[in-house]
Amino acid sequence: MLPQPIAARCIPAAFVRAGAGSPYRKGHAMNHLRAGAAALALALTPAVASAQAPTLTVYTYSSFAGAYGPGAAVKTAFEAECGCVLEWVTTEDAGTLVARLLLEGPSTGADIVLGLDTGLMAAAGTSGLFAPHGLALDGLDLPIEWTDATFVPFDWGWFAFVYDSTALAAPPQSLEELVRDPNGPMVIIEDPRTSSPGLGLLLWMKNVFGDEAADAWAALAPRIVTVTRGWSEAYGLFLDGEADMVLSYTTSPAYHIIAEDETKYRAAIFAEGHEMQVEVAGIVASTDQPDLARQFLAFMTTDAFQSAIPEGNWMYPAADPAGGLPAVFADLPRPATSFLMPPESVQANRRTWIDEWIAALAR
Amino acid sequence: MSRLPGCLALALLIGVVALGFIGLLSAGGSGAAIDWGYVWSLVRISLIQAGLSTAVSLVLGAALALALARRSRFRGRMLLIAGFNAATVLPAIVTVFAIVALFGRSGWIGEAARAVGLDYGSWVYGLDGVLLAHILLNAPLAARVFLAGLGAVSAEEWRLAAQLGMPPGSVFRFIDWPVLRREAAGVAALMFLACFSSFAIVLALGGGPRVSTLEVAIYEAVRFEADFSRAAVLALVQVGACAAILLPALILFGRRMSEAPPGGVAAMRPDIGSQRLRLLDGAILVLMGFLVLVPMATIAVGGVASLASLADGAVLVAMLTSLAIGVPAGALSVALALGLATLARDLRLRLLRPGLADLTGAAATLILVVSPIALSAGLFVMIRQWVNPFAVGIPLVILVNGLMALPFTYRQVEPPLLLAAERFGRLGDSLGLRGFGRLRLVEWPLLRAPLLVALAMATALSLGDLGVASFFGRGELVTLPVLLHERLGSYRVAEAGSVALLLTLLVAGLFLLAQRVSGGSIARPR
Repeated sequence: MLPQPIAARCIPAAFVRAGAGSPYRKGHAMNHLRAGAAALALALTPAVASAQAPTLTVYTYSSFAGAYGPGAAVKTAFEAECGCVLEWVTTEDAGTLVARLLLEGPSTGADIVLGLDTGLMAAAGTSGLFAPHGLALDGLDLPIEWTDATFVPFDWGWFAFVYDSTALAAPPQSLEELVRDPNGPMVIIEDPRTSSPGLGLLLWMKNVFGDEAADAWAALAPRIVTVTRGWSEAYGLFLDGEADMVLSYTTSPAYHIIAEDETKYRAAIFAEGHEMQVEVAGIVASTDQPDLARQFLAFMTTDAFQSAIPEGNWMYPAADPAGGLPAVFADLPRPATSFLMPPESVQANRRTWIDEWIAALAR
Repeated sequence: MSRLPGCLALALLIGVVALGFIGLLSAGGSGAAIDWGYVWSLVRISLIQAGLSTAVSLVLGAALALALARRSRFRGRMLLIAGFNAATVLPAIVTVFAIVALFGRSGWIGEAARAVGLDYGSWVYGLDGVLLAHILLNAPLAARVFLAGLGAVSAEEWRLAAQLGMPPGSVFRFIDWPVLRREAAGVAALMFLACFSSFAIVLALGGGPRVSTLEVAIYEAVRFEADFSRAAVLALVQVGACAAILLPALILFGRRMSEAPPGGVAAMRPDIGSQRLRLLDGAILVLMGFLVLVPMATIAVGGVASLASLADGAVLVAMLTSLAIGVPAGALSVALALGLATLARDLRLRLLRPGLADLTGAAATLILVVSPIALSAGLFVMIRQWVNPFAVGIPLVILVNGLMALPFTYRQVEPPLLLAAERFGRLGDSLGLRGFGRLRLVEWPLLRAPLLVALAMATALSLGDLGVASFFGRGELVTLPVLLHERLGSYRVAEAGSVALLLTLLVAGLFLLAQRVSGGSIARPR
């Protein structure tokens, strides 16, 4: 049996949802159009919250819950065991997710936020909006030890420069070589001011070159074709042949192998090691479903969730499924060393490092 | 006409923007000091980039308008114009890929150069690439406004020019030039602001942080720093900087009254027979086709590869969702523009306050540089104090989109409204025409075509919206651009290309429809 307050809370939520189109039914043609759009949108959502089962509202970025993401599989699997309704609420991308959560503050309707990474954890983690997860987390398969008390990882990957092996026969063997070789490959990167991979490269350079990072950036600058707002533009331009290498993930070639049967794209593995991106979820402190939220985070590290990750999000699962990784993922080359800049360090130094980056590229 | 609708439109415009800024300022921030040197460097490069983009687009747009006005009858003219029109509302990301597909290292030209053994390189990244993209979006926009102006030259003027046997040079000097001059300030202001606040294009084609934009800092403050008051200050700086340039420019170069006598049906231009002009016009059409239509053709070629991926229920739903937002937003935008333009005309002609009229126009234009992410975030904060923002999501998205398209609709409907008053105002007064009858007999004949084009444009702009919806939706508002980004973000580049093609065709179709319903292009003599 459900505790009364939970069931009661769900009724207005369901009402708002189902009623989204109805106030516009009366009136002229334009209103019909709007109502039509709302109805269409509703028709797309498989299940409208029922008044009996509790609803767990999870905020995430749109590609996670979208047609190609793991969202649908996760929803089905979790609903089968929780006796609840899992509702995805999505924003354009992870950055907007944090902004929206902070704008909503303590009265947010979110129970869980899924999809933050190092760069965003810093801003979100210190806001007091998240509650400790209270889970043991001993079944994780990350290259590093995970001790965060607030956020639970659901997938991870290494940033890497991806290239077309038919066009670039001898890719650089190290970040040092990429940066120093004046005749080296032309690269496209993302802007650290607007993109997670962009920030990831900034941290990677800092981890490898330390105080010499600015010089390294200045040395690389002539071979940076362009710096895009986000990963999509960068990767699209690379696939169009605009550069020899693009900043992406070591797992990117897996997409081309599995979905396109195309093996020419490779990720260059660098001797110094690679910066990681760890994607996490956390319980929103103001949730009125703390038990259900904790149940979801525990579920997140089980097979049912994790098996949807490799070919849904094209990242490594945080806990390898019992049957092992898909063969293509298992065969991908892996760097020997992993870096992960602590969120506090990112929070404290991001501005300085970005200023340094701008100055170095403007030299 | 009454001033009430205009005052209401102005109040709505100012109210929504003010609400957004108040919301954002109240959302708090870190209180960290703003690095004004950095901000200034962003403003400076934006000024240079936007100034250059505007100047080049203005010249090319005028040339294109003149060529199209002189060549008023040739096969495919209507389609050509629809293509140019569609270019003005291409989403930023589609524009980037179109420019690169033609001019990039592995673009059409690059491949051709390589085929004959030339080293082509990646020259397109930098100020050049940004300029090319902005020309693609803006030169056809300028051409449209100029063409409308040229089309409204009265038959008497043409008859007089023909009787005087004016050579082509004099036709340009005494008839075309005053029209171009009269319309230039307004459309230049519009293009300048659009380029100043351009974001994804400037980043992707700029080549690095040297060519950047203030919107980057605003975006960063909202998303990475969650420093909302900082975002508000930066967004205000952007509006302030643009106002500081726009207002003096409008006062200096603002609209002059035309001395046009009452006209009848448009007549033939006397300069169409000149052989040299014929060659020049051909060259202009080829050049502009190369700069605008060929990049758009790359979208078609890129999209054809994965056309099958359009046969998907999600695509249909996204298209209908786009239209369900775009059409009401377009109608709202045109209604607001009509209200504001009527108010501005009244201020100018009846109350003899041209300064206030220009200010009204500036207000309608300045919303272009109100950062969409800042405005959405601020409105979100304010509105959720009163209602669940998700429950009013669709009307809000329509409202904000309608306001964001206002600069373009205003620029389209303001000139014909003023022209109607200049030509027929006194006649209408003396006949005692008022209200609806006056609207039907005096304004409507001149207003019909621009109004429909404005509606098509505002609808198309709202179809292409991305940022605004993402704050207010629960993720259920999957429009075509959202679908495009989703596919691109999931490695499905070819499938994203087919959505881009669909979007472009839809927009071109909207313009074609508007042109057909309004009875052919405005400049065509009947």
